[in-house]
Amino acid sequence: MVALIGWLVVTSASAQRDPAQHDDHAHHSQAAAGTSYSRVVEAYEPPPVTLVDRSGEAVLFSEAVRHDGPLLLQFIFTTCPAVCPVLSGTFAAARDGLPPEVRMVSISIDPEQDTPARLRDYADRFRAGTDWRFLTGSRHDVVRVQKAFAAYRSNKMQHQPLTFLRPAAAAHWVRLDGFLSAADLVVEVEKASKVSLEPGRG
Amino acid sequence: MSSSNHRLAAIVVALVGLIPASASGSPDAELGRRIYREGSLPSGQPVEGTVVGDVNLRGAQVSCTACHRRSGFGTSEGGAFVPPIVAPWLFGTDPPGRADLFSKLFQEVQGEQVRAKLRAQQVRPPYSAPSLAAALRDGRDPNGRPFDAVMPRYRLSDADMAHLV
Repeated sequence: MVALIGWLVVTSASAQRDPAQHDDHAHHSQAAAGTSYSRVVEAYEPPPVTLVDRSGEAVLFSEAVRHDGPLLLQFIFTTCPAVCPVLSGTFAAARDGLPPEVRMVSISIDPEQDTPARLRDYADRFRAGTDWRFLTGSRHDVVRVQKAFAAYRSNKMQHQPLTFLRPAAAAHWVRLDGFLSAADLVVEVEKASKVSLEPGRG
Repeated sequence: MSSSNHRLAAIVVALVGLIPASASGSPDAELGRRIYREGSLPSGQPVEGTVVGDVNLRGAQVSCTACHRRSGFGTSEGGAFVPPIVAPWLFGTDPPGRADLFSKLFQEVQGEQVRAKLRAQQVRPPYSAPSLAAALRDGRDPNGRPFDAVMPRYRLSDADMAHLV
């Protein structure tokens, strides 16, 4: 518990936003499962790069995230020991509870290792269907995407457990930092789909 | 690598001595090693564990060594600090000043979340076979404090638990 509180304090310190926030629950959600994560709305611009999906096909990143319905995005790598199995596992576990129009995108931050074949194996671990894309590419392009989402760390082991949620095509993104349960994720998608999002507010 | 084998053998040997005579089947260290390292049960089925309350993971990705590493010394990744589970730490008390020991073992600069967790040390009594089984199943230490949501809560039969602990 002390460790969790310490973590929360550190998280809130590193995500300084408008101090006039009234609803604390909008920022730091503590669900029954003991998970806690922070939530902030941001505008992100997808960079004009071309990535490669798990079948080896080239795809424009802007195409990969073009979708009218809700879109979920995470950065992963297939040899990730502790964080990515939980992140991707949450996508997999939430799939049935999410509306069918939700799409998922996972992007490798270790593109030299994560070939399309490795991405296929990783996707199979989570029984990912065609509604869940896995992307790799050149290091330069993958770094550009990470930077566009303010998710870049020069050391992949320092990567943060981030989940990005865009409820509709023209909307802003909800940046969720921390570990969510599948139930948390379903609630966040519902919540984001109901309101029009403004950057900096929950 | 052989020193980690010795360490693992020490864990298993230490614990086998704690198992009551009434436990069913005879605990097999090799089967325990396979659970610990590969996440596979004697039945051939993958080990199953639940993380963050409702996400079920199976097999090698929830093996003990996947996060606690083959050495058993743990790791740090992003915001997740994975503590050591080597025998002296489990069956002794978590040594005070672990933050300093961590700095000696891990040469990389750690993020602030890991540093905060390292320093938020909790005093707890040594583990026993029953409290270790409770830790793995219910995700709590011998004081009843819950583990981080990322630590799996495992579904293990009594027989499989006996091989492991």
